[in-house]
Amino acid sequence: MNFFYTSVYTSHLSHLILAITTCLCLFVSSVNAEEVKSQEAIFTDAFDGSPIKTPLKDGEEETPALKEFKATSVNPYLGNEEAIAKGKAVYEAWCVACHDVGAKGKMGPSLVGKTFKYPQTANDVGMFAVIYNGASGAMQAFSKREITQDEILKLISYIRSITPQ
Amino acid sequence: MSKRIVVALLASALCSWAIAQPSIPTKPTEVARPGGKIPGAPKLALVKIADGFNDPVGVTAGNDGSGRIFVTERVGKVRIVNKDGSVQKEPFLDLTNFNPLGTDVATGFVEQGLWSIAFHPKFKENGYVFVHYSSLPFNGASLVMRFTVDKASPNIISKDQLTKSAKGIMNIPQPYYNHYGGMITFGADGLLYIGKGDGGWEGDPLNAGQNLNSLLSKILRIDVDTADDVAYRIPKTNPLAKADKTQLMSLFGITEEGFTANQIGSRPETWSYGLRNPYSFHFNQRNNDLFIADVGQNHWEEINWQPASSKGGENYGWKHNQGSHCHPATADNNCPIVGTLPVAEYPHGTPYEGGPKTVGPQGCSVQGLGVANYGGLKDTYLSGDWCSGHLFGTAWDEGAKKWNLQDFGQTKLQFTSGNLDADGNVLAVNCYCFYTDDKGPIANPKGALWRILPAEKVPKGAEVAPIRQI
Repeated sequence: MNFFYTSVYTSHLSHLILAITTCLCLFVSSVNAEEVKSQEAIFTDAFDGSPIKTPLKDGEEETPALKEFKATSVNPYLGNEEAIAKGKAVYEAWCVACHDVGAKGKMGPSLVGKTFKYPQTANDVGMFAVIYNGASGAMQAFSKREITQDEILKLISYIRSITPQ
Repeated sequence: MSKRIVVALLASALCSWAIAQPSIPTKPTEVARPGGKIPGAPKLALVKIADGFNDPVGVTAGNDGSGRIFVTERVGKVRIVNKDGSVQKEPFLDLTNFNPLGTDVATGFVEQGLWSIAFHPKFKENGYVFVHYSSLPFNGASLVMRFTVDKASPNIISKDQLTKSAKGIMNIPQPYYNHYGGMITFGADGLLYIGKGDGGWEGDPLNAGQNLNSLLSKILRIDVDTADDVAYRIPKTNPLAKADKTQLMSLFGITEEGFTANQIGSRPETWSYGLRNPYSFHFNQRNNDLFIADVGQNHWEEINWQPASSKGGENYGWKHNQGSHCHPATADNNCPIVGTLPVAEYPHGTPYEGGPKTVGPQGCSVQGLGVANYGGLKDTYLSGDWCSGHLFGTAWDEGAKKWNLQDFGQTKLQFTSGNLDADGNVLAVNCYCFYTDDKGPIANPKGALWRILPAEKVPKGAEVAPIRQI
């Protein structure tokens, strides 16, 4: 019984803390977008905004970087030269034909600058969702291809490293 | 009512009928671009019929009353979709294994493969089917072949039957591995029409578009109702039917127009030319008009239209023009328009190299799907873009006396082709095959077959493709 009441109390306290945290987050988000990045990643469909899941493929490893990204929305590979180099190789294998050298856009839209075809691409969680889940036409879901989620993070780190043309 | 009044009324009706005919644009400003609205057009939906196809790149409905739909898989197989949506496990036709040497189909590049199947107008009686594909043993040449279905085995052409009944119709050497064209279909005239691209590379290095001595860059028209030892015959009404015939020299007593029209040495199979890559084209079953979806170069996709009254011989301008624009496309766009303008066009990401980013519907490869005459649509050519997933409709607006290009929304699909089902509804197929991530015709994610219906007619519980309006 005692445990029960303690649990209820704890539960109420948790809700209170959660509510305060949420309010704080909402307030902070209105003044400091950087703070939002430290939240658990919520991936959404670029088409209709519906939430999407990002399960790993059979045998695919959840690297520490991927785990951190999903927990915090922050891409640990940003600015990491080694990861950027690997991301560039991924870009040249899968993306360059449509998005062109320097990601400035060709058949596919530009991935640099401040304006994106899909606004969610402006942040790494949104870009991850577009790559993983696809968008329209030839921008297919790369989760169906031989590319890992960790490679998607490295790919994003490369794209973010490009100076807007 | 006096005879005079009746005659006057008839004349008036005839005049109205004559006026009601669409017209081909005579200047670029008359060519429709995205932003148009087709009067009476409903909101459209794509309803899934079946899936699990390996790179489906063509679809044709059987014309034998069976309700079967035949989906061509790029690898070299034709799959049957039954009326209930079930897909027959065994292929109807298989070009990959009738020969111990291996497949007959070249598929190394994503534009290669088995593109289309056409049923002879009298298929029910003679069992003739025609296919068009890139041949591996002929080093990637375009092959049009005829096979005969054994009436005792209507759903499967066995290896033996395939080999025994094979008749070569046409072999067109292919200089490069892209811009093949692909679709073949019969017109109401009983003749076989073949869409043939400019043979590839980029920018038409062979000048095939304007070369009448080549089978490339054309819609070809041939008569396949010939004896078994005659591949095909040139229809006498082809625009260049006599161009390859030996003729007496005529220099005097003939006008310049006269000997220009002779076009000596031209390929008599030509129906129309100046097309870059007419992968798909469709007749309007209501009136036999012809629409051609011509895949563009870097900047513009175009839809061409020929009235049923056309005698052929249209020049659609490639490589001088793409759409109503110059090729190469430039900012000043200052060049002559060669031949016949398209009725509609839409841009890629930029209208010319270094130009402003396109805002609104765009694409990079137009695929014709079929002419819709249902649900509020009339004489409307539906097309989908392989790259952007946009679904477009092209139609003449009699009230406004202009062509409209309406965007019905953007899908997640890579459209590859389409056709009509037995009820006249437009079908579409999509693949997950593209230049960069092509893992081969059986390794790519599976594609699907869709039926395009007015949104309000979607059957309860049916799976529909997401469409967003932009």
